[in-house]
Amino acid sequence: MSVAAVELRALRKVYRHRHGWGRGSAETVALESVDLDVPPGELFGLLGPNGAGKTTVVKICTTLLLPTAGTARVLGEDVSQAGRQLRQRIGFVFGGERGLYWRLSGYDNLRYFGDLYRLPPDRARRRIDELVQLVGLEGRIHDRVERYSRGMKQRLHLARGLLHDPELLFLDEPTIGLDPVGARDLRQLVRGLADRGTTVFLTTHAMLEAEAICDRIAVVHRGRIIAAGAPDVVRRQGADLGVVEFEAVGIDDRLVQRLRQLPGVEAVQVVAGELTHRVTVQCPDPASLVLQLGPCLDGALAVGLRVREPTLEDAYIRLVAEPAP
Amino acid sequence: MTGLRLFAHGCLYQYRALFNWATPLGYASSKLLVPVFQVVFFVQLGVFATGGGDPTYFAIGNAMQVTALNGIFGVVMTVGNERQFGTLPLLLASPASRLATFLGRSAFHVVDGIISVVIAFAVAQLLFGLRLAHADLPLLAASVVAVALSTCGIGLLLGSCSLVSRDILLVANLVYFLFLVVAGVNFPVTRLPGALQVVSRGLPMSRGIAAARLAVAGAPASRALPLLGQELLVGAAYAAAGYLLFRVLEGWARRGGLQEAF
Repeated sequence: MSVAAVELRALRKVYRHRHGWGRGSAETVALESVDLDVPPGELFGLLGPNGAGKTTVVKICTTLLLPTAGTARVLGEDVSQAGRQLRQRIGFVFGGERGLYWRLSGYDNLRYFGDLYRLPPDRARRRIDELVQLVGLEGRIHDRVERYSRGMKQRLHLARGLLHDPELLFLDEPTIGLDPVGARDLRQLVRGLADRGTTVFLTTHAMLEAEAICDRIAVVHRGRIIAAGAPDVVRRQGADLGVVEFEAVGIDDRLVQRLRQLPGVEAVQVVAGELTHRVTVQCPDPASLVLQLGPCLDGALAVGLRVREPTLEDAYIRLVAEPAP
Repeated sequence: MTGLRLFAHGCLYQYRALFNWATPLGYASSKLLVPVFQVVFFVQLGVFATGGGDPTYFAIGNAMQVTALNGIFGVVMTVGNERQFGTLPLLLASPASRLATFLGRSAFHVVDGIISVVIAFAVAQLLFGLRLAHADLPLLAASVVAVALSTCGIGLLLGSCSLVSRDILLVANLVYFLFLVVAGVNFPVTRLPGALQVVSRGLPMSRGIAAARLAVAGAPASRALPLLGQELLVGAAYAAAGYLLFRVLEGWARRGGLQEAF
């Protein structure tokens, strides 16, 4: 029986913060009794809103954080005890632009991290050449990183994370801040890695991303796993509901609150656009809801109204809209 | 051999990646202007204050002291910039040897510090007639190397502090000027009040400068070598304290999730 790539049992993490001299301290529970298994070779997605605990899970698994209670085993090793051997077997990429040496070229960044991962020079050079092609940085790899776009930095991050050919790769919101094309390219890259046998543990709050590439997902909310399974399985958790969607002009918090109070409404999402707001309402009886919308909107203009089946994103919104257990 | 090569390679990248003065103009000013102005200023002041005394005393002291530019400011920036660039978590989650990485932060600054001292000695020769005809040059070179190493030791300790404090450059400035006062740069340590003599003995540099003066005067090596041994020991103690602090902070960060706060 193969060892799980990631195995979390009753994992708990509490952060303690000091308010300042003589002003006491406070605690924030980031993770509460998290159980999770990721088998080898899987592309696993951990979804959740900001502050849900996704990055804390990744930091614990990559040995950067110690859990307050419970156990985290990565590639069979307890991360609390693990040292160099485990670090040599895993790779990680955190989203954002930090974490690179901007005064060095992309190539020199990779050479330096190759040194940190104790790659022999010949192997490092070969590997860098492969990765530069893989992430599409040919022609710019000898430029200083400070001249890179955000997308190029993110691709360099990915190359760095893959430099030592890790068995397990953690990606913490790798597409954050990327334009749609850059994000799509990165997703294809990550899917390709998984297809070639690398276990990938991805965190994101982009449902499209998770639905497009993940074999299995889990939703973490307020430090707890509230749903897990294949994207289709999680999506079906909202199958008893229908979705009413429309574009609205002149909608405000008061009207959103009135929508939420309509009978049967489970979740309301409002996404601001340039001229209109896209409003998504989940409820068991969309037809009845449509009839109630007119009086409820109180003069606000609603256009493009349609009723549709719930997507994974709808299921996610419903899940995280519910009070945590 | 591979380990040594990796170490040297890593040191070079760290120096280029993390050192703030790694632009041609910044480097030239730190290498030329600061040593020249420091030597000129303190030699002129010393000669004026002593009513036309021997300028070489002040020239030697200040030429040696400029190594602290690298040893303190250079090393503090090299360690502290890891925090600013957000690369500290990557370093801590890598399998790299902590000791080699830590010591690697100072390696090029030792060499760079030695170059600064050589430039400062050249300035002292050109402008103030410092004579090295009777000097024991190997002993003088050993003194320069010892001071470069020992000041990097204190730089590593301050660098570790900079992982948790944004204000460590203020402390680095304080230490740099403290050296001017207590390390026998411009006047003998024995002329200091008792308490400051204790401070002087607890810091690097004073023994190295004393050994350099002996070397320039052509004194027997047997008088200077014990001083150099002590100088290296003091520097090593600071470097060891810096490394211990670095490991303590690493453990602290793992418990509290403070890598981003660093």
